[in-house]
Amino acid sequence: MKISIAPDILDHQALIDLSIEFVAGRENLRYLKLTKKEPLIGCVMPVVELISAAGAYPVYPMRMLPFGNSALLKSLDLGKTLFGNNFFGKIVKNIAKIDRKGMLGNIVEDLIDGIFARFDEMYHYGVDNGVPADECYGIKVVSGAYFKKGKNLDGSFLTSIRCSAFQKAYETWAFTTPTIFVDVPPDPSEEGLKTAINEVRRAAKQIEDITGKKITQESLRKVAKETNRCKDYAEELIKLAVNDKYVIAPVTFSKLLGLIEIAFQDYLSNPKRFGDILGNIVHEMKQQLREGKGLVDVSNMPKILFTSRFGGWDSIVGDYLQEEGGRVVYADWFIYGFMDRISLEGDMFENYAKYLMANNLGFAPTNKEIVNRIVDFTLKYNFDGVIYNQLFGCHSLSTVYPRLRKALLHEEIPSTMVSFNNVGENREQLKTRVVALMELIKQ
Amino acid sequence: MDSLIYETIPELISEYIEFLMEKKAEGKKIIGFSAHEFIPHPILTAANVIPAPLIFAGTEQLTTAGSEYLTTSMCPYALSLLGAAENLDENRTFRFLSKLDGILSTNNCAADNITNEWISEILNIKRFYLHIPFIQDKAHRDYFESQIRKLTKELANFTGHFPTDEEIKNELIKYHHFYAFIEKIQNTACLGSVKLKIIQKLLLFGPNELDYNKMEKELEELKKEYPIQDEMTRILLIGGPIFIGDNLDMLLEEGGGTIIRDSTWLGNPAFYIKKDADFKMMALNSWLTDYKEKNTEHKELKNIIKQFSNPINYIADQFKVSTNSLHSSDSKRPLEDYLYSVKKEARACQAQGILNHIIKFCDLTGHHRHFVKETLNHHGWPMINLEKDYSRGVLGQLRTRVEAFIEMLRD
Repeated sequence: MKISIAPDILDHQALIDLSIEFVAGRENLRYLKLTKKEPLIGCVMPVVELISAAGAYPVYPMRMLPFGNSALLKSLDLGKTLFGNNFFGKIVKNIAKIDRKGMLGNIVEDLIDGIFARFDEMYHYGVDNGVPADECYGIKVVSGAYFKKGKNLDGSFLTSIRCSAFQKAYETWAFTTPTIFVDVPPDPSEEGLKTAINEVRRAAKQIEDITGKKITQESLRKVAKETNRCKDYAEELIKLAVNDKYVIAPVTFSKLLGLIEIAFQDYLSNPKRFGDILGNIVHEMKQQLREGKGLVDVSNMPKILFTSRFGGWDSIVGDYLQEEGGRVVYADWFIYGFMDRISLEGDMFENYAKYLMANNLGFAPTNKEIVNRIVDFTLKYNFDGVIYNQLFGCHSLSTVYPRLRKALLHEEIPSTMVSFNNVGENREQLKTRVVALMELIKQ
Repeated sequence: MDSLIYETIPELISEYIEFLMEKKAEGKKIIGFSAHEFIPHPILTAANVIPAPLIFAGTEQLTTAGSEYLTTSMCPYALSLLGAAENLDENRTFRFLSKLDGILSTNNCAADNITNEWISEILNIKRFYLHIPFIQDKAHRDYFESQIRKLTKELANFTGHFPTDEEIKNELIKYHHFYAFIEKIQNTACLGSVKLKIIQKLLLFGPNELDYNKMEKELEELKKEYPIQDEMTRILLIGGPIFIGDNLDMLLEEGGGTIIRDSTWLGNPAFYIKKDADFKMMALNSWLTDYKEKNTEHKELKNIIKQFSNPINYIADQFKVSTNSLHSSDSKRPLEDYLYSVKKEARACQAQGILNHIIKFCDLTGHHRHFVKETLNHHGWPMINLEKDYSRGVLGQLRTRVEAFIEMLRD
């Protein structure tokens, strides 16, 4: 049964901010593109630095679709306010005229459903427009978004990963918008790094050609500082997620983490703003924990790590877990190398090349290495169990469960595997596996 | 090799195992690989390795067994290899896997590395890794060269023999002869199923002590025994290859068609073969009947050999200019080079239609299937996308589709 998260969100200013960012995303991007004539560059992984350093706005293509009630959004006149100073003041002022809790509650409640409804729409759009049915959810969804909205982008920045289906999908997306493809080998040797640095410089030039603005050491350093800040706050949130006390219900926290993972895919187009939002969330939560008001004791609720989420997942798992007395945490970008901090000392292009190398090594050339990363993360944060999400059609990144299960058992950590094809499908299996895992943990 | 062609698979396997055992007795190491392209065979052979291409089709049972290690939604070819490695005693076709000393994995496709990671553990053999860039510009060419040099060192440590440039050059010459002969087979007016069996066997055994004179005579006899009938529909095969044990070629011939040219990575010359006019002349000329292994007097061969003075450099250069691999990613002109080479080959072999063979869950051959079909259709080439795995249940459906396609081509 789906548990409402709206009451929790509405009691926390920073969570409302994040929700509004998602909900107003499309309007903001339209404003940037049509009114301010700013360049928008597509990206699907959290690698926005070169884009922002060149004065462009990174965009996860799904965010060009409306999440939630668009008529309601228009009535709030959000488009022009988001990057202005009086952002929230204007929102509250408009909403207060009507019915604050009711309207905002609707917005928030619709948000998660809205996101997944758009994912579903793009899934089918992707398949209807030629993506083979035997490819994974992630490729179908993102391809659908590119087919639908790619023409609104000035370019797309994509980095090599070990999945050959993704490589082929990049070529398909290139039909919709010019693509800057960076092929960095997962090889930290001198030759590997030399190739990576060359790729970063080549990509930088291509992005500069789009925006007309040069990427300098300073501009890249400034953006990297902001993205590092976002990662620092995200790490704080993971620590809060494995805490014994929460300020919101576990299912709300899990959905928040899911939203933040999606947000990281383009840093909501503005790393500084995203950092401010994340910072506010962390500070609000810590403040409330210090004050000890309205806390939820989750010390008896086993912590379950859910991975891999980035290729697609059913967020109902958080609801199922809460019903069984557990709580779920999503942390894919940490596990797979995207939360590594970019060094701010020395040559920034070299530092960025090292960061892209870390991402590639994060996804790892072998399954053994991926399993080590998952197990290390599980042990670091003392998770009580792991749910492994195996995507139908994935023959690369989510194929590790047989190996993972053994490695986790060796550490006496129970796990289960669930198959995922599309949201809403196979929920009986998901529920059954969650119940069984929780029973095992409770024993 | 006793003869150019094999009659049955058990016969082929027995001969192959005997060959591998002979080579092991000579001190060579046997290294298997499933990667489809960009394997630098001359480097391996110069380092005293016998490359063992794993070009065998699987079965439904082996696919299921293999999926226990990874996932069911994966290439059945890769899963079958895994399933076979796990059940060596139970499967006679794959028992040659027990003779492997090592396995070479790459990122040629998503399944390659993670499958071979398991195979090396199950068989307890050494795993080598070669990273193949997706982009083919100068920087990645240089990186690929560094990968080949690294592989050379690792192989040398493994076999105890570090190949000299001269040795690699000699292997390159050998492979040029080898692929020129395969080109000759492709251009022979003989049933596709027969040509396929010959090519499969040749690739398995490699260019080891081949008697080209004898093979050419045998080819002529096979051409007389298995000619292409006038009424047979000529089909160009692209996409995934037909592996040993897969009967798609027979299915086509039962339906009245034949593969006029295998334009998959199995039938095409390896990436390091300079496919220029000199190579074409080597393939067309009958000078092969006078071939002697160290005979380098012929003009075409001399022209090709001039480029081998720095053989590893040469191999990396060929990576950069190789144009028809689906592994390569070119976001500026997706598939342009690949489709150009397909159209060129279809014209050259006077194909009447094109069959795009897709092994289920294969990213490289399957992802762009609709675009490939639309583009080729637009240029006047009838094409069918035929996706399959190794389950017997789909044979009837495949037969129907194949027959319908051939009928359409005849109308």
